[in-house]
Amino acid sequence: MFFWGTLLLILNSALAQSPSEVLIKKGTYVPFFRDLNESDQELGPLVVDKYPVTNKDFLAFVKKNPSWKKSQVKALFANNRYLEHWKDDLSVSADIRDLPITNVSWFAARAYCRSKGKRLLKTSEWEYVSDAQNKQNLDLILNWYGKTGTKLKPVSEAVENIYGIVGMHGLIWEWVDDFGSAILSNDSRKSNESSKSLYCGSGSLKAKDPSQYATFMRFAHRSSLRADSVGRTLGFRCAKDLITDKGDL
Amino acid sequence: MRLHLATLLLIPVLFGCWKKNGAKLEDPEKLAKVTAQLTYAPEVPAPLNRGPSRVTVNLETKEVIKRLADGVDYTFWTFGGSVPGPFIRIRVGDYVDFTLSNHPNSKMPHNIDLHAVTGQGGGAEGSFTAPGHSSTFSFRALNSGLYIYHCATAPVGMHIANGMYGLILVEPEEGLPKVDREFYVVQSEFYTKGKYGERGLQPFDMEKAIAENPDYVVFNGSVGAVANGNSMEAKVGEKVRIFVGNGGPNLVSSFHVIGEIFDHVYGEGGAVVSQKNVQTTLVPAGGSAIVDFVVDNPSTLILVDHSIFRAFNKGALGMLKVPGEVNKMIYTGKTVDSVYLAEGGAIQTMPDEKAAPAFAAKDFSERLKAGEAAYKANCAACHQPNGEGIASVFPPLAKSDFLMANKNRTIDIVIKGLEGEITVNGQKYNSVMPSLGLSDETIANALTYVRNSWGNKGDEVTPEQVKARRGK
Repeated sequence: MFFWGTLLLILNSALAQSPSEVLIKKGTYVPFFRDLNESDQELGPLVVDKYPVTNKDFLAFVKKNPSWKKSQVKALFANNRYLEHWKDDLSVSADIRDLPITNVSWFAARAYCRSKGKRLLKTSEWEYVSDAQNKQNLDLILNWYGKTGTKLKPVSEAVENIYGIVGMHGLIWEWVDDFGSAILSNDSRKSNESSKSLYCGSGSLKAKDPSQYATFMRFAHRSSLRADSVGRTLGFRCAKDLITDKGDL
Repeated sequence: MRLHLATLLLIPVLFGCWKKNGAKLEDPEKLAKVTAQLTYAPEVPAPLNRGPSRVTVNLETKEVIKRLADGVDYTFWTFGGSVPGPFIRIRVGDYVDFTLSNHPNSKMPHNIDLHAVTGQGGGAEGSFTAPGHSSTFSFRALNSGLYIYHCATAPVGMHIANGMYGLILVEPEEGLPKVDREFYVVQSEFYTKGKYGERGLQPFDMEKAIAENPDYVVFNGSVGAVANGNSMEAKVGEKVRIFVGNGGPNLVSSFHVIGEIFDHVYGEGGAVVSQKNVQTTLVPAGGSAIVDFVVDNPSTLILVDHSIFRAFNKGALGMLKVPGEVNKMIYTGKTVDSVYLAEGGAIQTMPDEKAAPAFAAKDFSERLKAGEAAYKANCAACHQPNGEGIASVFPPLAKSDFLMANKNRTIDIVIKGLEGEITVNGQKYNSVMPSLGLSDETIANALTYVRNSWGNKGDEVTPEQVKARRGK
């Protein structure tokens, strides 16, 4: 009994030392869809969650914020599939505890991040820290996009990238703060130019590199969402800006 | 005066109908409601028998793992769980309420571009749907014809390449001419990381798709989908129509049915018959054609893309079985199978060639043996293996009075040939025996064999004797 207790303590402290956040220094994001005269985007420094938010994390949030319970959530903030995989308001079975949270809307994701003093990543930040344009990640990305079905795995089993962030690819789709502007709006009141990017390959005229069809799929997925949408493979992680007067970060 | 004019103009607006391109745009609220019957290939919904209506069409997009070929699986993105998607049959003037639902297990958003739709993206703009959502839009069928529909979500080529296409038929006002049977066939390609036939779950290969170099070219979504046990069937004498689509994404099809000719072709799936008596018709990528023909004769008709390596090496092969007794008035099948002696059986040598070392029989028994071989090689084709000949065509040699009567005459005939009437064993023959160009040795051997076989009793014929007759 004593032996196991000590072992547990040692293990716990070991885990507490591994950071759950990753520092991202200042960088430049080259936009995938570039408008005429649109320049590259500066970003950072910021601190990004190492792992996506899990069911366990979200349960703790719901307990403290009962308006986000499945039975309580306002229809405006999430559609009726919200948390469909939880048996009831506060029940998260052991087998899904460490899986990334899914079936949460953009409103819910934002509320969670805000409760931690954080926010969702912007598209430019997400694409940058995901290292998506690195050809070495292409197979990982495409294999997941090509695989149908909704089987998830624990966040600890996902792949860590060069920035030290885990599960950016091959695990889930992730909410970004500005998902609606991923590709231009298809609102027909605007000039017809705007909707062409979305459909029938004309998007490829604006994209940096049409062979990056994996990125196309990600942008297409984002622009299919509404703020109250949920998805069986759609989750999120949080980030916060690091405001510093040190020029070196 | 102005008031009257204004009222006149208002009348069509008030009554809710005005014409565009010949199709009346009835107020949708006034149209009779009906739900479209959808079928899976190769079945086609029954011909319509109704006026313009308000039609409900519901399609679901699903990502499924299914067989592409024996031992080969593929993750298909589909309409309705199959490749091609369901066949939609409506008529010109219909007002369609179209709902596209994307299964929540889908990874990808999907939408639909129907080539029959006159509107932004062919409906793609109005149907962009995230997994677990539905989208509804409505359109009016203005033009009759056979149209492809396909997913148009970026990257469009990949969504199409994974199987998201089907056909929608907009019947003309008077309907299509009556036929006995209709079939639904869509050609398309698949691009896999592995080569054709490589086993396992094969991922999509974007580079091959860009290079337009497919591993599979198939009818109805997999190798053998309409062949062998899955063949289409028709009865003799039936008029058959095939609605042919080409989902692409890249290749143009040279559509041909082996053993038949298309009586009529609605080229490119348009509204009129563009040609008759067509062997092979082009089906554009993202396009269609309508062909019909009467199956006059039982056989197994083979559907192919006549860019023929696609048919035999990549899977573009289908079957339409027409059982029954073959009509010999139209086609007999093989009636004669005979040996063809291109040069009359003689061994011809080129002037420069060194002649093979000459064989010379040393005695009577050798000559007999060699003669048997020479006879079989040069004479048996006509005079038959046992010298019996063919009645009234080739005279017999067995017990032949004509043969044995005059040795020199016999040698002459083999050297020079013979034409004109002769009588052999009481039978008249008036044929031509060609000069076979045989050597002295061969003639001597053959004649020795002939004059001493099958009841003939004669003597040896020597090469010297043959040589002596040449010149005469």
